Amino acid sequence: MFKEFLARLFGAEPSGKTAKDRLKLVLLSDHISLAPEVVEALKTDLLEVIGRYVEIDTSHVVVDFEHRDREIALTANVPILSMRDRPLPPPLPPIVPRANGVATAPAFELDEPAAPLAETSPPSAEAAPPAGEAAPVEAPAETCAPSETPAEAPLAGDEPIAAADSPAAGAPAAEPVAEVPVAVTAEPVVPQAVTPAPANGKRSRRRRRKGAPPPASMPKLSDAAKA
Amino acid sequence: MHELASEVPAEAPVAKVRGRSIVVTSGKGGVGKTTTTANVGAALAARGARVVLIDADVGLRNLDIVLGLESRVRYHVLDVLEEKIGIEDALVRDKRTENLYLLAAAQSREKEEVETAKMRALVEALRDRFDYVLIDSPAGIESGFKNAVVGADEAIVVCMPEVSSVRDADRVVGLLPNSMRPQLIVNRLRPGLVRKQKMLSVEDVNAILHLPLLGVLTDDESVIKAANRGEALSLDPASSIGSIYRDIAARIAGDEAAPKASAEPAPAGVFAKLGALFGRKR
Repeated sequence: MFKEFLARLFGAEPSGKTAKDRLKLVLLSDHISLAPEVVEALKTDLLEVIGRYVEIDTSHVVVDFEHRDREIALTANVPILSMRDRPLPPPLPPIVPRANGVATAPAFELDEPAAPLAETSPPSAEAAPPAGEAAPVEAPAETCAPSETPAEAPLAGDEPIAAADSPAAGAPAAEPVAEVPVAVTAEPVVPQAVTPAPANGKRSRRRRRKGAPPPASMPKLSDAAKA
Repeated sequence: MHELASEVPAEAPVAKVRGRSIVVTSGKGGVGKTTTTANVGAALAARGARVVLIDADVGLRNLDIVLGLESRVRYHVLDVLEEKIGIEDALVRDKRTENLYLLAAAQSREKEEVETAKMRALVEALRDRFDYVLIDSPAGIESGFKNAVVGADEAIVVCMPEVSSVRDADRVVGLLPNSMRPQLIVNRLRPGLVRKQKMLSVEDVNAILHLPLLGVLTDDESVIKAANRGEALSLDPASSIGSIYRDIAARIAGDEAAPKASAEPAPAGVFAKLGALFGRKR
């Protein structure tokens, strides 16, 4: 009784409210699971993105929705066959229309602006534009050129970074985040192993100077987009 | 189908307009489908309509008990479907209401034995004779549910204000064809708990289901007593629950002015809030 009094005093949630929340959640998942074609489309897109970075066994992929405490998690079990030496270039056309005029980075970056995927791609002189930087669609040629020769053109070199940072800073939250908290787990994942050893030092330092948090190691797939 | 219809004796009253067939369903068991079917059926009959209730819960016959007709049941719905007996011989007349009939479920048979096409034909045949054919669906969404729904043009969804019941009701509504325009009865609501936010309110329930509300019934011990005796509360003029069932029947019959019998609690006053804070009896 005293406990109840305290609970009421400190605003413990009435169970009716809990029931309402649980109901909403359970129905959300019911309705999601009732639309297999949506799950299938999501799975296709998801694999396309993951497949750019690692070679995956598409025949044994399981994408599912599962209940966590107070959220529904999207779990993807993606067997990885091998790492790709270099990420495949993203298919630009499907990303552009979603950007609403604002350059929007790939979905994995949405919640991890501090560790854009660009950091994870092995930088090399002859490289095609790294995946993360391909996003600023306004000026792909510019963003590409300075990243090849950062030392010679430091001023121009800032441009792609600013552009890459902008979705994080300005940031109307892009619509893929939606209401469903999505946590993607992939296994077996070997994220640390692929952190590029060759120095991307200059670009990292510049980032830090600009006030961005230090570049993390490769964002784990399991960290991605947790709303 | 025509065989079924031909069993009806020539002197039986023949409806000029075909009756309405309404399935009472819920998904979840134990929320009050059978009680609702019995009470709404009795209330419609008391208004002068000719009503037949079909217990589609083959294997778990209960509607006869709720109506107090268990001792009169000789034949059941499967006997009719298998043409062992004519419809006329299988219908049990209610002991109190002249226009109310029951077609009982088979107790020692299984749901899977019912042929869907024949069930539809049976309901069609009964619609020629009665103003209302109310079908008491079994719990679940399997064959028994499908057979209960197949002959119905309309649906009443019974739902208790609790998570599992609302979820199942939502599922069932998704399975019903849109043309059935399901309507909602919220059953066994406890206004005191709703007031203290310890139970989902009618608004909470219908924020999920979005169904036209036929009525709201409180959780009341008179329902248990009536079931013990095998009497429909809707025939008891003194019963408050009975009057809600009568209002529901009136709405079904097209009387839009009938009150929705909402049992929503009035907003709690200061004293009630204080009482709640100090742990007055929960």
